[in-house]
Amino acid sequence: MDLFFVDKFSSLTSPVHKLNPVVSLVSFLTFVIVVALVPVHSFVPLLVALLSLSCIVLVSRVPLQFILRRSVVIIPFVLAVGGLNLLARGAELVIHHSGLTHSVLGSTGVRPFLNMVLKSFICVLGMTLLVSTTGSANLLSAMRRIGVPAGLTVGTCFLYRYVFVVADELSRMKRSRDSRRAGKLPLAAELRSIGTLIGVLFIRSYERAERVYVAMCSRGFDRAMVAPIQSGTSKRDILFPVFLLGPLLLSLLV
Amino acid sequence: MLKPIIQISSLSFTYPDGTMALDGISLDILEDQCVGLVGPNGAGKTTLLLHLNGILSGKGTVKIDGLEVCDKNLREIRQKVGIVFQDPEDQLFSPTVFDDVAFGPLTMRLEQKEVLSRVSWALNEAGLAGLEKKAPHHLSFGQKKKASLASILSMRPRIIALDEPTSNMDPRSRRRFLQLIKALKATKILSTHDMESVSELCSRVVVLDSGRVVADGEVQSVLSNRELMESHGLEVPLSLKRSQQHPPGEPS
Repeated sequence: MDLFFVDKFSSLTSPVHKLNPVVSLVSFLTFVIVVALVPVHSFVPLLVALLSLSCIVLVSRVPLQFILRRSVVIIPFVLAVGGLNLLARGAELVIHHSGLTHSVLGSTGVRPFLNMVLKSFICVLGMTLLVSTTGSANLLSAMRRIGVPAGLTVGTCFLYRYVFVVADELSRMKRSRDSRRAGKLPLAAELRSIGTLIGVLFIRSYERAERVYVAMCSRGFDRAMVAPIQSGTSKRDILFPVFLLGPLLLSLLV
Repeated sequence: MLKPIIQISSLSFTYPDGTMALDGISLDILEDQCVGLVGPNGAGKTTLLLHLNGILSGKGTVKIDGLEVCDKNLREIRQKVGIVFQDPEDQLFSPTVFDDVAFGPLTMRLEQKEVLSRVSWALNEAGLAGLEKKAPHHLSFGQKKKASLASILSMRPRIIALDEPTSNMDPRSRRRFLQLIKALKATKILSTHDMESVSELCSRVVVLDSGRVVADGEVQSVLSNRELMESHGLEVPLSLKRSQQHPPGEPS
C-alpha cells in the first residue's frame, strides 16, 4: 500500500528544505493565521500571499503538479460550505450586456465566497509546502520544541511510524483472504470476513504496541519525554519569514 | 582470569497463563564471551533474554556485572545490556534512523554533543553512515536489522543479546550481519536456530529445552552431538557434519 507520498519530496536540498524546522513551522503557521484574518472583501493581500507561495514553490523545486494536486483536495469541501453560504446570503448574479461586470463581484455573497475559496486554497497550499519541504519527522520535532504537548506529538510520531506497517499488514491479510476466495460470498458473510480482518488487525497492532513498549523500556525509556536534538539556525532562517510574511503584512496595511 | 559478567541463579518464570517458561536456570557467562543460546521453539530463550534487562522478573536472581537486576538498578542495567529484537519493526519505533539511534543516549540524559557523537559512531559501525534521515519504512530488511543493532550500539552496552539475528535474511545480508556481530567488542549472546552462525561466531553454546539448560559447553562438542541435538529439536550444523565425515587431513 503506497503511503509514501507523504514525504516524497522532503529529502530535496533546496534553500527551503534547509530551513530550521521550527522557523519553517512558525512562519507557515503565522502565514496561515494572517491569511485567514484577511478581510472578506480584500483580494490584494490574498494575491500577494499566492505570489509569495508561488516563489517559494519555485525555489523549493517541489513539482508544482504535486503541490497543486494535494492542495486542490480542499476545494470540494470549501465549495460545499461556501455554496451554502452563498445561498444563505441570497446572492444575486447579474450579468450585464457588457459581460461579467462589477455587479457580479459586488453581490453580497459572491465576494465573501470567492474570498473563502481563495483563502482555503492558499492555506492548504502553504501547509502542503510546509510538509513537503520540512518532512514529517522534523515537523513533529519542531512541534515539540514550540511547546505542543508531548502526548500529542509522540502519539502522532508513532502514528506516522506505524501507519505504513499496519497498512502493509492489512495488505498482506487482504491478499491472503483474496487468494483463498474462489467465488463471491453472500453479503453477510463478506461483511463478517471484513469485520474479522479488522478485529485481527487490531489485536496484532495491540500486540505490536506491547513489543514496541518493551523495546523502548529496554533502551532506558522511563516515561519522561526527552527533548529532541536542536538544529542550528542560519541567515536564511531570518530572511525566510521576512519574505513570506513581509509582503502580506504590507499589503494589509496599505 | 575473566570474571562472570552475567550470573543467573535458580531462575524460574511462569507466564500469567500458567506456562512455565523457565525452570530453575543457573548460568554464568564470562566477560567478552560469545555464547550461543539454542533450543526449539518455546524453549524459553527469549524469556531468558528478557530477564537480563529486567523486562521480565522471575524467581531467582540475575546479576549483571555484579549488580542485581531489580527495580532500583534498572536504569544502570539497561545501559549495560542491549537487546536486539527479532523483528526490527518492533525495535525501530522512531520516524528516522537518527532518532532511533539517538533514543538510547537521550534517555541516558547525555549532552547533545555526546549524543551526536555516539549516533555517528554507531551508524558507522553498523555500516549505515549517510542514512540518518531515512525513515525506517524506507529501509531494506537488512538495513533495518543493522539500524536495530546501531540503536543498541549507541548506548555502548557491555552485553549485547541478539534474538534470532539472522532470521528472514538473504545469504548476503546474513553474511554481512554476522561479520558485523563478530567485530563487536562486548559480551555477546546469540539466541538463534541458525546453528551455522553459532558454530561460526560462538565459543560456547547453551542448549535450552522446556525452560531448562540441557547442555552447556564448547561449541564443537555440543553441536556435533547428533543425539543431543535431535532429541531437543535441533540439528548438527552442516559445517560440523562435513568435518565429522571428512576430518582435516583426510581426503574428501
